Amino acid sequence: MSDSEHDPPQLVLPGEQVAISEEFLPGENTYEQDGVIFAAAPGYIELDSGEMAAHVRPALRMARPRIDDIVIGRVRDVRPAVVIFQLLHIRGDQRELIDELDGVLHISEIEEDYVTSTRDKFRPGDFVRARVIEDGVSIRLSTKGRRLGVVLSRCGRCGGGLVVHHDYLWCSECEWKEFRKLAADYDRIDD
Amino acid sequence: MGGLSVDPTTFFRSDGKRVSGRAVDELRPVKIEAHVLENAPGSCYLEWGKNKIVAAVFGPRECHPRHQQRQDRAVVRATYNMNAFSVEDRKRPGLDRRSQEISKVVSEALAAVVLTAPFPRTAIDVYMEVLQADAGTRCAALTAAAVAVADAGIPMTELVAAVASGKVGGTVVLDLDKYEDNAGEADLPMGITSRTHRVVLMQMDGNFTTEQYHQALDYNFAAAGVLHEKQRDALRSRYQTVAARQPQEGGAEAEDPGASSEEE
Repeated sequence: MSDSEHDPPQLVLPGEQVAISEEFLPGENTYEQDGVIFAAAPGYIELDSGEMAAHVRPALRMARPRIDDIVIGRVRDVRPAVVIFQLLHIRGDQRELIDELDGVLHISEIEEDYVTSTRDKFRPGDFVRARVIEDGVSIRLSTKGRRLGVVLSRCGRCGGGLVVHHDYLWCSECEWKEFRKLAADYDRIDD
Repeated sequence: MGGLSVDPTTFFRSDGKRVSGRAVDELRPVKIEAHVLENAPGSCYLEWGKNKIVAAVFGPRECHPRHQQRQDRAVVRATYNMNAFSVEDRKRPGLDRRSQEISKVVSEALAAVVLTAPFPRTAIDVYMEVLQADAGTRCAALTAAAVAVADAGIPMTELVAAVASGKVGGTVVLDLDKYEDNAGEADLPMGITSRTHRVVLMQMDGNFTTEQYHQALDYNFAAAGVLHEKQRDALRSRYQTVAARQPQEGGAEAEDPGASSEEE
């Protein structure tokens, strides 16, 4: 993304000059004033000669999901067209997500195959690993992928633990069968 | 207060220095450390003479109560609190008129530098805890809060540092300590930004003559420059240690299951 491999990235702090507006467009974590681009957050200067944009790559970014982040969420609501998650954790980020952030998974993003009903794939309370595909005003998710999908779930009838049986989940307590979009490492997550 | 005719010898030694040994335009020693807390996204510990302050920042996060939300920006809510053990006599804990006032002026000072527009309907909460107080805690608290906000990665146009000048024994001096403040005749705390040198906090106690007022302004602007450099040093050393620990920020993402889509 950058052409800054020649020298070590330069650290800038808020209010320090990043570039001149004549040469670059103000990019991420910058602002422009009187023809000069200044840093808005502590980070490293990244000059993108393709877009002609000057970015500041945050030294420590905010605990906020960005595109391509892998997140863990809990299903709050299963609607006909979308599944709503409460986001709990960003992979590789120790910090707690302090915002009450919701993520939205559209039925078309659940898996590659055609999905008839969202309720065959997720139920409220499921813990799900998903990938962020849009991080604007609403955070949109995708579970397309082998390791994406439900990582932990409870039986909808008795609340007992569910185990994987073939391609479905099985409750040994009450002999109940449930269908999900499962992650490959269901119930033995390592991250 | 009072100070109708204070004997200058109570505040100045024969060599012209103050009782504390400082020159009239000399700050107390200031030490700033960024990111001292694990559980807050941004934090700062600051020692300023005998003042000891911890500041922590959360957010942007959902704004409760909802009536405080703004549709077009984040609200900055600073909370200044003095611990019961921060002063010689036990301070009665909780909100009082003074801490509410400081919370308000510090919130406004920070809102002037934080870029709030990208985070509509959210709140940025800043907590400032005074562990030990020795006059000038509102300035110390704002200085610490600015570092904590930057440490949290919240976009801001520039840093802000605060410092006060006051008058003792008829002379304008920089950065009153408790001994001077208790008997001081005037006090002028100011919050000054690092790049454009805007004044984002200004209060005044007591009276200055015009000359004294300009003298106090000069002291404050000069001292703010020193403080800004200390704030930058604190943030730089913070990020240098981060950079040493994880040389490639993208490294963590390279081997994560996001690659799963390709695996199929």
